[in-house]
Amino acid sequence: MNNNIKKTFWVLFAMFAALIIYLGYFTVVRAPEIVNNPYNLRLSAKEASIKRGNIEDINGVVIAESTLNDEGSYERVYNYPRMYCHITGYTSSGKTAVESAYNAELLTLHNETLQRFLYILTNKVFKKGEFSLTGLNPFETEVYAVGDLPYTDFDDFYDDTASGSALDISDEKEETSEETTEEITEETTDSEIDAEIKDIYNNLENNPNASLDSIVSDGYHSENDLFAPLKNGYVLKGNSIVLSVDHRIQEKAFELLGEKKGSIIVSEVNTGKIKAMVSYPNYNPETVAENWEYLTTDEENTPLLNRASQGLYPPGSVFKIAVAQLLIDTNQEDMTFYCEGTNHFGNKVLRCYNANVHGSVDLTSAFSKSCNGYFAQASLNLGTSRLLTQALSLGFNSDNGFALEHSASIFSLTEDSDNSELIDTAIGQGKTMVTPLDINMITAAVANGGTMYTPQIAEGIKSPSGSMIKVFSPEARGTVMSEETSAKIRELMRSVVTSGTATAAASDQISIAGKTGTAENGTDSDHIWFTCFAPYDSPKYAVTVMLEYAGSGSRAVPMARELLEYINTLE
Amino acid sequence: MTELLIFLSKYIFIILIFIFSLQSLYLIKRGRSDNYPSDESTHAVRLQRTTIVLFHILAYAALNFNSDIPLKDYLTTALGGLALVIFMPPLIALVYGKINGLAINCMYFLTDISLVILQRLNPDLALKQMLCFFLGSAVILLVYPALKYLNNLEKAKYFYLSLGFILLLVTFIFGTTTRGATNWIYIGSFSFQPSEIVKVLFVFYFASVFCVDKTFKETVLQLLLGCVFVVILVLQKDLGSALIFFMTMLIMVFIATGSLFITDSSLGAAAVGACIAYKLFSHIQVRVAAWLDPFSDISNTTYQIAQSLFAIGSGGLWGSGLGKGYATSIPIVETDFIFSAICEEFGVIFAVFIIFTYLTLFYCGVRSALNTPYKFNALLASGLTGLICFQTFLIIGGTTKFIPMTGVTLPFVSYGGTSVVMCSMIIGIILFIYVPKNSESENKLSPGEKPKRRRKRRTAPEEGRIKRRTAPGEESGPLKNRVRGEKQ
Repeated sequence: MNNNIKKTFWVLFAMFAALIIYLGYFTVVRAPEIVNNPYNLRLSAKEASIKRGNIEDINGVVIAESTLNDEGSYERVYNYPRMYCHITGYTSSGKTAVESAYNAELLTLHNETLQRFLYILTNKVFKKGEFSLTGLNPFETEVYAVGDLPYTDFDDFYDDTASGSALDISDEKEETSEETTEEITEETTDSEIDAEIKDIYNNLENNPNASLDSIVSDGYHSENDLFAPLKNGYVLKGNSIVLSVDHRIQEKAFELLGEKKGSIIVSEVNTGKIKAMVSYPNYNPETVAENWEYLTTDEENTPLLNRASQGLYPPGSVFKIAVAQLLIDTNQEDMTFYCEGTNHFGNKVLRCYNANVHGSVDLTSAFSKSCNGYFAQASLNLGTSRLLTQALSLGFNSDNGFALEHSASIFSLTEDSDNSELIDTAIGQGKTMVTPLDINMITAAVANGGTMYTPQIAEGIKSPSGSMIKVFSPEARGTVMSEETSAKIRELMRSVVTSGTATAAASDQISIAGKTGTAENGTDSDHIWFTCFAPYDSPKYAVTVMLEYAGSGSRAVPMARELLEYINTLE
Repeated sequence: MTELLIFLSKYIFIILIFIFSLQSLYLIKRGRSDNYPSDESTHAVRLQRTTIVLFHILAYAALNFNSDIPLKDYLTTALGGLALVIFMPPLIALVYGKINGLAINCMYFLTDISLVILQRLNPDLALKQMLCFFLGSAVILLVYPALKYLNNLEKAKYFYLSLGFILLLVTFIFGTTTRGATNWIYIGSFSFQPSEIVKVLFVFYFASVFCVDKTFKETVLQLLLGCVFVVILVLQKDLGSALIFFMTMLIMVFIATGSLFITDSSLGAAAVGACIAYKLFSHIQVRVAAWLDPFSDISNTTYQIAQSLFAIGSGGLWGSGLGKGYATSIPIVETDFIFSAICEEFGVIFAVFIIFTYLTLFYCGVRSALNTPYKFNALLASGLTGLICFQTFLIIGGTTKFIPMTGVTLPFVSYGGTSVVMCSMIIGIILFIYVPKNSESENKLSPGEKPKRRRKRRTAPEEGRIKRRTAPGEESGPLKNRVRGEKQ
C-alpha cells in the first residue's frame, strides 16, 4: 500500500510542478502583453505617474512629447500638430493612431526597477522641493512631499507653517540668509503670507506630482543649494517611439498638399516603411477635446479620417496596372486593339477619357495613354475568374497589416458578375474600392521586383537615454509578381511619364515612372490619382498622390514630381 | 522614508519565505535520515517560527505606513495575529510532539499570510478570520484527546455515511444559493459550508470501508455510492466540491486496492461524465470558454479570470508591494481569487514559495500515511492529504488559468470559517497519526530483516500486539485498538 501512496502523490506533486512552470512562463512571457488592456484599471494610474515617451521621426526630430503643466500633471504637446495629426493621433478623449497602437511601449519603463528606486530615493526619501522662507538646506528643513501630507486640517497646517515649526527654521542659518529674511519681513504682510500658505496647501493636496518648486515663487529660493539635482526629483520616463517618417519629406508633402482634399504617401519600396503620410482635411490633436463635437459630426470634411490609409475610392485607371500584370503573366502582352474613342462592347458603350481616339494601340501605348477600350477588351479576353484571383493576390479584400487605423481595399467582382461589371472593374470603376496606401504598396511591389511589404510606420523603440531598444524589421507579405513581369510593368510605367498621360512628371533631376488615374465619382470633378516610383533605374521611393474631387487640371502629377525632386536633394 | 521601506519590504518578504523554505527542506531531509530525530532539529523549527513572527511584524508595519486607517482600528487583529503565531505553534507542538514541528510551522505561516492579505483587502474580514483561526487552533488541540480516547473509529462507517448524507441532503433542500452554487446553510446570521464537513466525513467513511480488504465487486459498489454523492453535488452546482470528492475517492480506492484497472476505468467514466455535464450545463460551458480565451467577453462572463490575470501579470515576479497594487479590483478576491491578490502584491516568486509551503504540508501528510503501521490511519491520512492537495491544486490552477476555474477555497488562506476549522481538523488528525520512521517501538528486529518491510508485512499476532504499545520515545499515539490482523 505504501507504494500506492507514493505513486499517487508523485503524480499530484508533478501536477504542481507543471503549475509552477506555467506560472513562471505566464509571468515572464505572457504577462506584458496581457496587462495592456483597457479593462485593466492599473493602466490609467500608471499613465498619470509616468512621463509618456516621445514620438520622434527617424532623425530624432521630436514630434510629440509630454510635459508637466502648471497643475502638476502630464500634458501631451504636439510640435507639428496638423502635419502629423493622422500619424500621431491624439491622447485626450481616447487614443488613436500611434498614440494608441504603441500605447504600451510609450508607457513602458526601461529598467523599471532601477527607475522606480531612483524615483523613490529622490522624491520621497530626500524630500523634493524646497519650501523655505530663509533658503535652508532641505535636509534640515522639514518639507512635506506630496503624499506624506500629515495635515488633514488646514488650520493645523497654517499654524505650523506660519509659526515656522513646519519649516524647522534653525537659528544658525539666519546669519547666512539675513538679507532674504529681512526682505520677507519688510515686503510681505501677514495677509500675503496667509494667501501664499493657503495656496501651497491647496496645491499640495491636489497634486500627486507637484514639485514644491513649481508652486513657490522664485523669490524664496536659496542660491546656495548644493542638493539641487537630487531635489529636482527623478521622473519616471516611458520609452519613445521612433517613426520611419522623415520630417523633411513629411514637411514638404504637407506643404504640397496644402488645403486640397486628399492624401500623399511616400514609402521605401524595398522595406514598406512610410517616409511621409499626409491627409487633408486635418485637425489639431492638442484641441481634440474642445472640438470633439465638430470633429466627430462633420460629415463633409471628416477631419479625423486618415484618407491615406482609411479612405476608400474607386481606383480609376491605376487599376490597369493589375490588368497589365495579368496580360503579361498570361502571355497576352502582344494584344492589340483599335480604339475609336467611343468603343462598344456588346450593349456597353465605353468612352476613353475625353473620348480621345487612340487608334491602333498595343499594351505600351494603351497603358501610357490609358486607353479604356484596350483594357476593356483585355478584361473580356482574360475573364472574371482570372481577374478575381489577380486582385486577391494583390491584397484586395485582405488586411494589409498596417499598425494604424486602416481599411481593406474591396474587390467585389464575383463569378456571377456580368461583362459590363467586368469591364467597369478593369478600368477601375464599378464596385472596386481601394485605399491610397494599398495602391502605394502595389506600386512598391512593382518597383522592387515583386515583393509586397506590410506598410510600416514605426522604426523602433528608444529608451529615455537615447539608445534603440528594439528595431522593427520589415515584413514581407509575399511575392505578388515575378521579377520579369515587374520589369515589364516598370517599363510601361516609364512610358506613361515619357510619352503618356504623365509627362508633367518628366524631370531632369530624377527619372520617375508611374500611372495616372481618373476615377469618376458621380460628380463633375473626378478623383485624381497618380502613383509612381523613382528613380527608374534603381527604384527607392514610391509616391502616391490622391486628390478628391479635383477634376482635370489637377496638380497631382506635378506634386509628385516636386516631392521626388526634393527627396532627391536630400540624398 | 516609509516609501523606501515599502519598496524594500517586498524583497524582505521574499527573503523571509526563502529562509523558511530552506529550513523546511532541511527538516524534511533530517526526517528522512535513519537516525531517530530525538530533538527534531529545534533550531531549524525555531528559525522558522522566528521567520513567521518577523513576517507578521514587517507586514503589519508596511500596512500601517501604507493605508489611511489608523493603527488603533486594527490593533486587535495585529496583536491577536501576533499572539496566534507566537504562542500557538509551540503549544500544539507540546501536545503533538516536537516531531510535528514542520507541519505546524507550515500551517501557521499560511495562517499569517492569510491574516496579512485579508488585512490589506478588508480589515473586518481579517478580524473574523483571526477569530476563526483561534477556533481552528482550539479544534486542533481538541483532536488529540478525541482521537486518543475514542475507540473503534474505523468501525463507524455507517455513522460517517449517514451523517454525510444527511448534511448533503439538508443543504440540497434547505441550502442558500450564493453565486450560483447551493452550498451554504445559514443559521441566523451565522453561515457555514456543509460540503467542507461532508468531504471529511466521506474520507472517514472510505477509510473505514477499505481498511478491510474488499473484493472487486464490493469496491465498485463503494465507488458507485460515492458517485451518488458526486451527482448530488453537481446538481447543487458545487462543481468544485464534486470534482474534489470524486478525485479523493479515486485516490483512496487506488491506494487501497492498487488496481490500475479500476482507476483508469473510473477516470474514463469521469471523463465521459464531464463531457455529458459540459453539454448539459451552461455554466460549465461558460467556465471552459473563459479558460480557453479569457479576453473574449471581458465585460461579462470572463471578467473574473481576466481581472485575476491582470493582477498576476501586473505584480510580476517581485510584486507591486503590499498595499500598492490594485488587488481590490479583483472580484471575489477574499475567497476564490485570494491567490491572485497575493501574486500581485507579493510577487510570483513569493507565490511559488507559498506553493512550496503547501507541498511541504502535503509531504508531512504523506509521511504520516507512509509511516503508520495501521491501514485505517494510512487511508485516513492519505485521503485527507489528497483532499486538501487536490483542492489547493484546483483553486490555484483555476485562478491562474492553468485549468478552468472552480469555486473552492484555498486552504488556510481564503476567508472562510468552515474551511479554516475543517482544514485545522485535518491537520490535527495528520499530526496525531504521524509516527517517526524508526521509532523505538519498532526496534525488535529479526536478523536480516529490514524495519520497513517488517512493519508492513507483520502478521504474527503476538509480535504485533507487543509492538503496538506506546514506547517511551514516541510522542503521539496511533489510533488505538485496531482490529487484530488488519494492518497494512
